Amino acid sequence: MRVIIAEDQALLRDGLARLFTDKGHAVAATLGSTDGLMELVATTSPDLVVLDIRMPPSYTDEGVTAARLLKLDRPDLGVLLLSQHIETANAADLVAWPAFGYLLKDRVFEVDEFVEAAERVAGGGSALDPKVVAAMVGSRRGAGKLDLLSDRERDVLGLMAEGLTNAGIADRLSLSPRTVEAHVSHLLTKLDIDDSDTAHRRVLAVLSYLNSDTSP
Amino acid sequence: MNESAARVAVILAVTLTVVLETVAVALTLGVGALDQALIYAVYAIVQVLAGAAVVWSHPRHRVGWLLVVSSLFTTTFTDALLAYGKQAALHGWPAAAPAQVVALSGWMVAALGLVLLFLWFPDGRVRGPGRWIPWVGALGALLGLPGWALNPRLSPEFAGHVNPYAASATWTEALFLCGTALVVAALLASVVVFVLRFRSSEGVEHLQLKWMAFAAAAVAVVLPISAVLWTVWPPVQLLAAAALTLLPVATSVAILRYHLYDVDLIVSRTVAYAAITGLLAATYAAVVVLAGAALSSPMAAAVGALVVAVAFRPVRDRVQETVDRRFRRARYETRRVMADFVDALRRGVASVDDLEDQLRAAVGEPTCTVAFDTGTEGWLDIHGQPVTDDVRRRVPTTIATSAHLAPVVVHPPGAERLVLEALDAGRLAFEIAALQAGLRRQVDELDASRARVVAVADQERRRLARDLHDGAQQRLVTIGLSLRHVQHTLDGSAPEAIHDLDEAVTELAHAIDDLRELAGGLRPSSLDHGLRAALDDLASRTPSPVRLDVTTERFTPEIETAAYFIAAEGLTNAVKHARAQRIDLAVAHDAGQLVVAIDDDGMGGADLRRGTGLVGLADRARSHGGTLEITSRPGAGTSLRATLPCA
Repeated sequence: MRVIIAEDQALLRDGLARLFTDKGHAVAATLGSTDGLMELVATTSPDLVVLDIRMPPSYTDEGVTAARLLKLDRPDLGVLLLSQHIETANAADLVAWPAFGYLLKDRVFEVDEFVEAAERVAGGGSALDPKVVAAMVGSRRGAGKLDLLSDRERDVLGLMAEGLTNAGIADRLSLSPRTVEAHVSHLLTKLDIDDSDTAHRRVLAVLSYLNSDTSP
Repeated sequence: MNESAARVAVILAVTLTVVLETVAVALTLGVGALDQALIYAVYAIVQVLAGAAVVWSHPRHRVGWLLVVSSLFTTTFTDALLAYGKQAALHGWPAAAPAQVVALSGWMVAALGLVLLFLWFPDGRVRGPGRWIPWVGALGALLGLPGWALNPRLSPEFAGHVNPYAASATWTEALFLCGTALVVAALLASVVVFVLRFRSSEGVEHLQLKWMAFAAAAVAVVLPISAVLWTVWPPVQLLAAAALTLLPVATSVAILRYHLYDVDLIVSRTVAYAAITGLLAATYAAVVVLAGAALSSPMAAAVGALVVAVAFRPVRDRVQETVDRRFRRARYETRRVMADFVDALRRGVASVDDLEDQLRAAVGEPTCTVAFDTGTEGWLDIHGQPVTDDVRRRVPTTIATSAHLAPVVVHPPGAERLVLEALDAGRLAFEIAALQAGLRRQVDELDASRARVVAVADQERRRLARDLHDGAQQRLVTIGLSLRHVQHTLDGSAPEAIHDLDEAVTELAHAIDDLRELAGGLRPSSLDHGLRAALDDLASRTPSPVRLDVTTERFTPEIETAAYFIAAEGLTNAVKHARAQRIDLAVAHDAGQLVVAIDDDGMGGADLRRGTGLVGLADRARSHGGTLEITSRPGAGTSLRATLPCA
């Protein structure tokens, strides 16, 4: 996997690069801002771009802007946003994209999970921080069908939203894959979501359900 | 006639009058009553000067010319001619008899001047039915003049006591009576016209007429008294002369508007002192007579003086008040209104906020403004607000005090005296109002300073939050990454060290969480994206369901922060204290106000006076010039509504 990292703090940037190389990935380039990112992507054809959200010059949402531009240009390119804290306002219109991830920076401490998530994004999947999911689920609470779910089903829904596969969910919750499958089937029925064949489309359906403002 | 010609003319008239009167007085020596000549001289000169003063500034004023001309007439044809006639008769100079007969009958013509004065005053125009009056007077003078000049009754007035022109007593007397009756009728009619005009007048004209009325009344009172006492007590003659000179003086004062507004004061002082003098003189006389029966006469006089001295002060106050009630209605009313107001304040049934209205009513000037002088920081109005400069530039009156917050009354010119009366009678009210204005000013300053403190604190929180996010947290993440890299390079060679590094990284993750929470409490970074985003985020972290209706509009950071923390504290209260199952949070922009409303279905009973959380919210709202209202009945839920100006 070829990775480009854009992060304004030099030490952190180097740390991230080292983390990817430690796990056997190639770091194609590192940048301190989003300047020249598009050209670099064009010349190096990476599988994944890791972006800090706050970067020069305004330190507000440069990373989000760059992610949008990249997605418009190359919808299949993996884009992973890193942030110091979760802002649902940023995530709202991004989470439904394929090959997109949004994680808190401290997720890097769990190196294996973090690299796994990055690989998932590079492969066209999703990776949403549990806090992002919690915020999305939380803001939908009291609004209808989510109340119908059992606690276990809600856990499963959260992990689905994070982008995990059934196997990944089974692993995380220490359940058998069959049990997870049953939970998934139940909760999708309760929420009126088609049980799509691919894991990715299922995630998108869940995310768009959680993210939609008009559904009950 | 133009101004300079008029001035030359009156200078000549004045000079002529003075010269002729001097001559008249000189000629009177040895042939007539010197004291009377002197009095006539003074009267004529005063009158011509009064007329000259009017003409000087109003060259075309008929009343001014009337005074000048009638003075000149009296001087020439009465005073000077009479003195000459008598001297001529004594020394055998020519024309002794014609001079005397003209001088002795001239008063009839002079009386016409008085008729015209009453008709013309104060602006020289005759209104209504008055036009025919001078003609009646003139006809009377025309008939009366020969009737008097040829009358045998005039004989005693001549030197030698013989009227050389005396004719038949019957028809001269008839002519005289006829003429005199017409002149007197004209005079009375002119006075009636004057009185009618006085009663229907208002404003400045009323005051002018009042001056004249005062002088006329003084003449009407003094002349009969002095006529009775003329020979008994000669000094009364001076009083008569003084009273007579009042007429031209009052005329001039009224027309020139010099001290126009003091007429009430002068009337009341005059009446009061006359009354006091009469009362005390009567008291003294009564005591002396009564005590004289029992005591020696010096003792009786001493007792009389003592009684008068003791009675003076209370008698003066009572008389002055009674006189004020009658003759200085304005002063009396002013003091009464203010005294009533102070009394109402004492009884707690009036508000000192009404002071300005009360003052306006008391003085009768609806444009009066009350202010308080802080000395160094300009004036404050009654509400403690700074007074604009354009008010300050108007004519002020102040209480004679240099105290802090001395009352200042801004009023139209001419109201000084009543304003001073109001300030004096309402002193307590003005002092309370001054204290209140000062206090309100301080409260305003405190509010402003609290707003500044909150704004600075919010700014500081924002800076701290950013520093925590971008500084400390990033550094900790970097350190964690480094530790993981070290762990990776150890590659299982030192299991204990790898375990320790794991623990260190876990601790780092906790530290980052702690910092994140701390920074979020200082100021949620979600506020960068507006209230809607921040409150979405907040609601998602609230354990009870929150129904949101939040505007997407953006406001200033200060207002957004205030609204956010009010909403956050409100939600916390609803969940923690009220144990609400359902919460509605609405934020809307309504006519320049940002309204934050939080309604829950909890147990209610919240009270602004208890619990620092709610008081803090109220403080926060107030520091932005807003308000916080809480409706919370036990068992009926709580409704919290904060309004912040955001225009």
